Amino acid sequence: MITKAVMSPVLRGIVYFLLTLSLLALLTGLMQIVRAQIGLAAQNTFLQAADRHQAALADVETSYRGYVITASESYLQPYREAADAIGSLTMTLEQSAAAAGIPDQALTSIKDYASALFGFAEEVTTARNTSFELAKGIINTNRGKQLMDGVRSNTALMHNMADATIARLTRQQYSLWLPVALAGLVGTLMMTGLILAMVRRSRDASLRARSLLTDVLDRAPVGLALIDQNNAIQQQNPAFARLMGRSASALVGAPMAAVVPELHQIISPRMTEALAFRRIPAQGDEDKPFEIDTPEGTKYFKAEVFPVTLVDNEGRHTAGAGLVLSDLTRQREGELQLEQARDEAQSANRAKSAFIANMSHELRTPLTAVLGYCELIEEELRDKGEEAILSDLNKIGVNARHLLGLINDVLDLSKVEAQKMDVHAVDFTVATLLDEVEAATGSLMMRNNNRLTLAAADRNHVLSTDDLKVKQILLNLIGNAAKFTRDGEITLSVSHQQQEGKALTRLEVSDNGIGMTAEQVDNLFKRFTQADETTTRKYGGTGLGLALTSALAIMLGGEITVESTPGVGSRFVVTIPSRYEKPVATVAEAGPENAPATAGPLARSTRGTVLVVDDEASARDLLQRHLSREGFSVVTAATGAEALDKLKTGDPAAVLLDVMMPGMDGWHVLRAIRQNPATRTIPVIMQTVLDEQHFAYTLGASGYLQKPVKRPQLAEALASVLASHDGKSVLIVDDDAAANSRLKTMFEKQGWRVRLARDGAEGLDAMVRSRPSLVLVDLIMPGMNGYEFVRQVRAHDEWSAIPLVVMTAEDVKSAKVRTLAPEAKAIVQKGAMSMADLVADLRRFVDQPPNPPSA
Amino acid sequence: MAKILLVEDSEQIWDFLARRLERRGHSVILAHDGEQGLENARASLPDVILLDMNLPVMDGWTAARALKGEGATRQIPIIALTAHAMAGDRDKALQAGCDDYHPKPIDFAKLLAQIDVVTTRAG
Repeated sequence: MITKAVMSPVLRGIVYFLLTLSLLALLTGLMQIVRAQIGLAAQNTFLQAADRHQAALADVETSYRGYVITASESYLQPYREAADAIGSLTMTLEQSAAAAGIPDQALTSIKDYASALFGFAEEVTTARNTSFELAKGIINTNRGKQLMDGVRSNTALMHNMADATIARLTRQQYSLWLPVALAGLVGTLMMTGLILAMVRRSRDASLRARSLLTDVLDRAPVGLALIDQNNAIQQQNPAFARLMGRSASALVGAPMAAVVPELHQIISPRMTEALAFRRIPAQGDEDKPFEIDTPEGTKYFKAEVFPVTLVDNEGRHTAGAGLVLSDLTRQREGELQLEQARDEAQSANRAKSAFIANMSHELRTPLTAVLGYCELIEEELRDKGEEAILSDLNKIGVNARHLLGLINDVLDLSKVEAQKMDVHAVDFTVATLLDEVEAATGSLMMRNNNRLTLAAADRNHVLSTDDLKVKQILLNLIGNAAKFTRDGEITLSVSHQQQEGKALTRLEVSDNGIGMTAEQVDNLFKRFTQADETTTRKYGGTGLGLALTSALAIMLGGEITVESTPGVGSRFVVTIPSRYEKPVATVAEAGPENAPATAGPLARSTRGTVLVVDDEASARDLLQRHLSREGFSVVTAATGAEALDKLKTGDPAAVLLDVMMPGMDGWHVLRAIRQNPATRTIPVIMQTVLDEQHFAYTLGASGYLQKPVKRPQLAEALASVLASHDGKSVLIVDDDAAANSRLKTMFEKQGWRVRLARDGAEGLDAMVRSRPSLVLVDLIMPGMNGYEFVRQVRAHDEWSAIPLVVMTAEDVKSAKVRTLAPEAKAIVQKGAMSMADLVADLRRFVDQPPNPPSA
Repeated sequence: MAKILLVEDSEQIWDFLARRLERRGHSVILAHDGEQGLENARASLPDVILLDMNLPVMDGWTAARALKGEGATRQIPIIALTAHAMAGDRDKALQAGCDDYHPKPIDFAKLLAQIDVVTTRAG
């Protein structure tokens, strides 16, 4: 058996070399034989030519002799024929002699004899015409016989030469036959062997490929099937039959619709595409995993379809489709389990948060009482001068406060861990922070007779982060330092630095207290771990403070480090960004609350619902995604009519309205929204391709966006309209209680916050307490009247932007009322328009701050 | 000295708080749920209302909104007492119409100062 290993390259080389050699030998031998054959043929031709030549001459001799005896002309006939033929015979003889390699001398002498014989015959013939005797006399000279003998001997000589050549060639031929036959045999054998080897190899390769393919198909963990033009299964692997819960024999050749109808139904559109258009079907909903009820229960599958070329038994190529069926049942079950586990974990986490919040409330209430009574008794004892009991009572108070601190720390830390603690960034100066810290730590410093030194690189530096958390961090650190320092100095210094383009604030709290060893420092930020247990006994504390401090620093995007030397002191350094930036939520962190994008329109959202109206599905989709990321729920409408319909049932926080829509366009929708009292206060942001800002605001739009809408602009526009919407508050200054109450109801219905004042003085008071976005003032009132009120308001610069609307029963065209025109945004005649219209109209003064009012 | 309406359901807290406030010369009217708080506020028009937010019958948030929504009581400053010292509670209390906010447990000195501020401002 010739295997690949035996046919090594060297051996193959030798085989090819020998094969070439044997073929060369065979060729050479055969050429030699052919040449010998040609040689033999030439000799024979020559011999025949020589014989015919001799025979012709012999005829001449016989002919003239007969004529001499008989003198009959008929005897001369052969002579004459020979004379005619001798030319060509001689030429043939010459040519064949040359081919047979006969020497020229032999030929020349034969030609000489021949011509001499013709001459002699002529002489004899002529003599016979004279007399028989004369002719006889010539013949008797014996010259004729001599000539003929010459011819014969020369011919015989050449015969001998040719015979010798023939003998030589024949021998040569015989000697060649054996090697040629051998070479031929060897060559043939080798050729046969080679061909056999090649056939075998190609058959082996195809067998191996076939067995590999079969093996792969048989063992593949996915179902594979080839489907022909008639939607019949032409071939499939065992997994396919197994997944479908059918026997393999039942499937082959059967139409899909008949044997696997459920699968066929799901994949048939893609199958058609693959079969008819010879392309991989585009990704679509059908690619999603689907479930099928098989004899073994419900299974989840994913099917992929692709075009293939099938070859039938006659070798014809036809279009077919390949089908890969993957069983996702286990994966799906895993996912379901994961989802369930996640839901359980989330609900457990929520339960934990609720428990902690509850517990903190339940624990604090009795503690409040304990502390309250403690302090009450303290006061009473002090009044009575019972100092002895006071110190004991003080201990109860100290311990109660300690317990309270512990509860607060546990609560805060739990909130941090449950990610329930939010960062509320506000702007504040270093000076404010230091003042508050100083005020809050006064008693703390006194306890161990420590001194607090505050140092700031720039007291006017503005931080934008959660002030309460920064304060908590500092109070924890300073409280900690104060606890472990006696008669010493604690320093808080605030400085600022730039790092990688970010402004950082460095808060450093150092003390000259007892300090810590390196090992103690290592354990410092771990929960319930103080430097060591003896510390707890000696100094108290919960062990949670620093863990919480560290967690707070991390929440603010910063970090905390500590250096300490035993007996010398400690230094804690907190570095936080000067401007807090919300961390980008990673997928893993995004819980259901943080990822409203994945939930439906009913999902919980923090910022309310936005109705998106756009006829283009892609635009709706994009806006929906943007809005979800911004924390809004989204309801969509594809037409103006649908939008108005949705507004009837829902009450969105804002509407995002496209202008260019078929049927009812955006302007019509806007007008309809503004004309309906139930919807007229809803902020509407128009989105248009053209610059139609002015038009938009004239028709009552609250905001305006030019398409294509970018997310930051969208967020800004929404924030702006919602802020003005949410913050809409009106102060009504009027002594008519009945009218006030009706106006109040009307305003509140449209989303305003309303405050009432009975006269100018009350009105001013109300304005001091909280700044309204609009003031509606009557002119005739007891006490401070409207004229005075308007003057007073306008005397305050900080109120100059608040729109004042005067409403009066007096003639608005009277000179006295007109004096208010420069101060008031509008002067309204009481009773001239309905309250609802008035309220709706007043909206424009607060909704479009950047635009000059049109009235 | 001020006339204070204390709306608080926890007996011990209203007991000691009332006694301590009275020791400082304030007069204290009590209410133990939101509705009673509203009634007492209307009836006695106190100078300041200390309003616990966690109340039975009607909670403090609702009571505050009701108090601030009525002509008679709307001028009376309210100091919200809340159990949770959460950042959001402060805003929530102010949004409900309260004038100030005091997280429990009660820091008596601070509470006195707050009472002082709101009554001076209102009066």
